[in-house]
Amino acid sequence: MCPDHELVSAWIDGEVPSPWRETIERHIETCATCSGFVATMRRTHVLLSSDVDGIDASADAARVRVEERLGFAVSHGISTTGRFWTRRFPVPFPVAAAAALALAVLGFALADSGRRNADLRMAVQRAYEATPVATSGMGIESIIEYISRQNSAVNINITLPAEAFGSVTGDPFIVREADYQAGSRQ
Amino acid sequence: MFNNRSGADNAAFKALYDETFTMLFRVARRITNSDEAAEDVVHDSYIKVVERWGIFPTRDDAKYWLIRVVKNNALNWIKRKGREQKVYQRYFKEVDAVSESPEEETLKGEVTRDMRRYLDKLPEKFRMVLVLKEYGMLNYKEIGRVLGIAEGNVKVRVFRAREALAEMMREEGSDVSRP
Repeated sequence: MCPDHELVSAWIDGEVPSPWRETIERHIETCATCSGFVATMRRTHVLLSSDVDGIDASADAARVRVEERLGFAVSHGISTTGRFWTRRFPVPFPVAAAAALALAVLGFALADSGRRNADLRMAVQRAYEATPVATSGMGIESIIEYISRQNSAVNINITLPAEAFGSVTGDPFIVREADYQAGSRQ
Repeated sequence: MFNNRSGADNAAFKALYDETFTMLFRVARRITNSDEAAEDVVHDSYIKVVERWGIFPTRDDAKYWLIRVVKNNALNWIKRKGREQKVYQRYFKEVDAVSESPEEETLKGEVTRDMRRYLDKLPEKFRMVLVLKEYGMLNYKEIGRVLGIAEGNVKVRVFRAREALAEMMREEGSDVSRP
């Protein structure tokens, strides 16, 4: 039985290991069909590679020129050491897209945060610059009455006297607490 | 050659250059059919490998990456050339200026020229395995590594490519079985 022609093609290229190599060789010696196929395949190989010598002659001259061009290019600024800031790093497209999106979101968040901080700073500034409208001793009823007379929103800055916060007096003592839980005997 | 590199890198690149240049030139020359284009393609490919020198774990990795780049650059050149030729032919009715002189063609023989023409007609996936086999002198395992396909797949493609060449020769009356 004839071997598969794919296998014979691989055999021509020396790609079949022993002992199959010898088996195919023996078969081809005795089979007219397979030896004809081998002759055809070898002929294509011979014809294709017949111009290799001509190409090699051109290659010898090209080799010298390319070597000169490579030396020239390298000495005139093509990075061979791969400077960090000029090196390219391959990044998968999904990762690059996700990074771009994250940067955009972070940028918007930072911009919004900056705007809100600016509003707060302006409010504090306005409070400091407010004109005093009342003196000490003004009651809460007076403040409400003052607000109700205004036609638009107003900022009220109430400064409490220092003594209003109280002070620590007396000796420290420990307070014992008993925790009661229904159904517990403790 | 590498002014900014260490002596070891220089020596490694020179060794790679010496080992691969002729093979790369053959592959590029066979795909482009032009000495000048092949020289440019190979030169540009070496520049790319120089720029990425640090990323290759071994010299073999650099070598097979380089072969792949030469193959792709040569195919891109062909596609670009094809587009340019269409424009030229449309406006100036010029013929392909890449082919060799009539004298050279006569010397090389009609059958060989036909075979190269048939090779150019093959689908890219079949053409490339034969170019790498016959001009790059690579074995199946190396071809598989360059093209990113299994060794068994290379075996099938080589066989089918040769079979298709033989069939085209028979159809046009060129007997490939005669010595």
